[in-house]
Amino acid sequence: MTEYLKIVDFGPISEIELSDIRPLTVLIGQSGSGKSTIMKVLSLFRWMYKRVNLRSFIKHSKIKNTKIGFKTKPLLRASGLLEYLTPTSQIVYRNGPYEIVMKNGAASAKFVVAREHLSLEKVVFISDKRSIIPDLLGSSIDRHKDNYYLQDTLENFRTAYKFISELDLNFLGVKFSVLKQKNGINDFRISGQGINGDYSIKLSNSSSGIQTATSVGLIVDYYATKYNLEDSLNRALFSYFADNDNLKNFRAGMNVGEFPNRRVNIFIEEPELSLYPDNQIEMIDFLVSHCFSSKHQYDMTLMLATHSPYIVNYLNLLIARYVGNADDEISINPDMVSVYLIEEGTLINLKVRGNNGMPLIDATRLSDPISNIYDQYDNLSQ
Amino acid sequence: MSIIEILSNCVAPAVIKRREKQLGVFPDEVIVDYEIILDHIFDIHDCKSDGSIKCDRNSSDRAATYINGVPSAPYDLVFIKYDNFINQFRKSPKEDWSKDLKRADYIVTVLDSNNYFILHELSVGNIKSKGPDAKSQFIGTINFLMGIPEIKEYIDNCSMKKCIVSARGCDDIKPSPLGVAAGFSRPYKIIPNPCEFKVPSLNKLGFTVWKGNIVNIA
Repeated sequence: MTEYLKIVDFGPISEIELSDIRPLTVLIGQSGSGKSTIMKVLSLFRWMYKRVNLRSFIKHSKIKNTKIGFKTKPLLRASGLLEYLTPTSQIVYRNGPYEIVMKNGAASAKFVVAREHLSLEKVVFISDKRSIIPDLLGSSIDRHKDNYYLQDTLENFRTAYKFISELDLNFLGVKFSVLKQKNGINDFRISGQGINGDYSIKLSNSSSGIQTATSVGLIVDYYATKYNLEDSLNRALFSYFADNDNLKNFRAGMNVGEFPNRRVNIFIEEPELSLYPDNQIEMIDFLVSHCFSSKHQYDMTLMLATHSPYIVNYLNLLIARYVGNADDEISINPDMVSVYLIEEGTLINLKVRGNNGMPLIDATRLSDPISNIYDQYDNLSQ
Repeated sequence: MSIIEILSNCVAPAVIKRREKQLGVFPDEVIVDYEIILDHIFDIHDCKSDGSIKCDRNSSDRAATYINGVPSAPYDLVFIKYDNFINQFRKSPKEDWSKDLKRADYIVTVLDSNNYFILHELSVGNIKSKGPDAKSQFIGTINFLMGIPEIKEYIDNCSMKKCIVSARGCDDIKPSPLGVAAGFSRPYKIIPNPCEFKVPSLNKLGFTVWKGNIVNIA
């Protein structure tokens, strides 16, 4: 179903409208322009939509008063977004015919998702503060509690390594592994081949790029290859019935396995964090192949906020490979991709037609600073 | 009414009306400064430097090149200094009737014709820093003008409505010394000049939005 988001007067956002959110959406823009705000708002509203789907499923199962809802301001507070709210703030999220509207600081979602539209949804946020995760793993201090997105990243990391004890991170040229020690504490290690031979070091002692990228690699690999959405809904239902004495009234109209739509939505802030350009490009190969080239029991979406000219330019190669039928290489259908520049609180769609008529991402904005540097250099040289 | 008359008789009072109660009387004389250019191919620059819109071909402060009709029959292009037009309502920081009004650099039309209505924002050469807010200049300018019935009617009757921001084109990019940053100039070479991009709020009003430094008036 077509997915739509409009944000008006919210934090750094003046007015933005994403009229048809593509499976791979990339946001670029100056620091503080609102990239993360858009990602956090979309992740929050997708989470609300997920709750409405759970509520709708239970309603279809003959329970009238589900007691499943959400309170907007606590959600905004937990997401670090409450300060962005103004008297004129408005957010509209649509998924097909269903609309969640936030006005006057309160979101309204008074609809029941029809059986044929029910969707199992998972929202995963990988924070730009993830570099601290290796330290948090070995620490008993809960320094992450005040930051929901870091907490979500940490919890997803913890979930992922329970299923993946070893993972080749080819885009980094290293291997991640988890060793259980006798004292019950996990030993997270990075191994590989260096100029002085094979090595194995603690994740927390590895380079900053490896630390930040390992979180991305592990979490995305888990959600692309190991995740079971049905188990997730069953756990949510179990939790719901444990908290509400409604099980006796429950008459399942459909099995969890019969949900017609399933989707895992991954948001990554600055995938390029601390990575050399070549590694950034290889990471995009990893993300695109995991999310869009391999088969899953569900659809996947990926939204990235980035400052990297390498990532944005590389998308053009992935598109060209697809258009040119380079079957043996990683590619992406241009219809699945959108890239937006956030400027002055509004959005500019950077997908255009190139000189050869092929879909193209206009990456010149990211080259302008380099051109300006050499214009000034030329002036001095003259 | 011609576009010059509309600006003088209808748009100027609308500018004043916004803040007349606070700021008082109408200025003695409203000036609509414009230039008519009949050349087939010519370059333009920011008129702040010497007061003229047209500049020497390929001069260092060239912002855009116009290709005007065919060599044997170029149009009479009317370039209105809209930024200057709005700025004249700013007597002083305290007496500014134009406060909060967005303003594109030029309005370009064809004399005695409803063929074209172009808003042109310059963002290269010595004024490249204006680039980031081109879109908001367009939206602000158009929303203000479309609120004035006479100019709304004029714009609605134009068959071609365009917003152009003169950003760099591939011909603007000089090679870096010894090619040390050559890769960064490659994206300019594959982007059409000009290149259309979508701005839904302007597209809804019938405007197409373009980025580049070649303007072809067919």
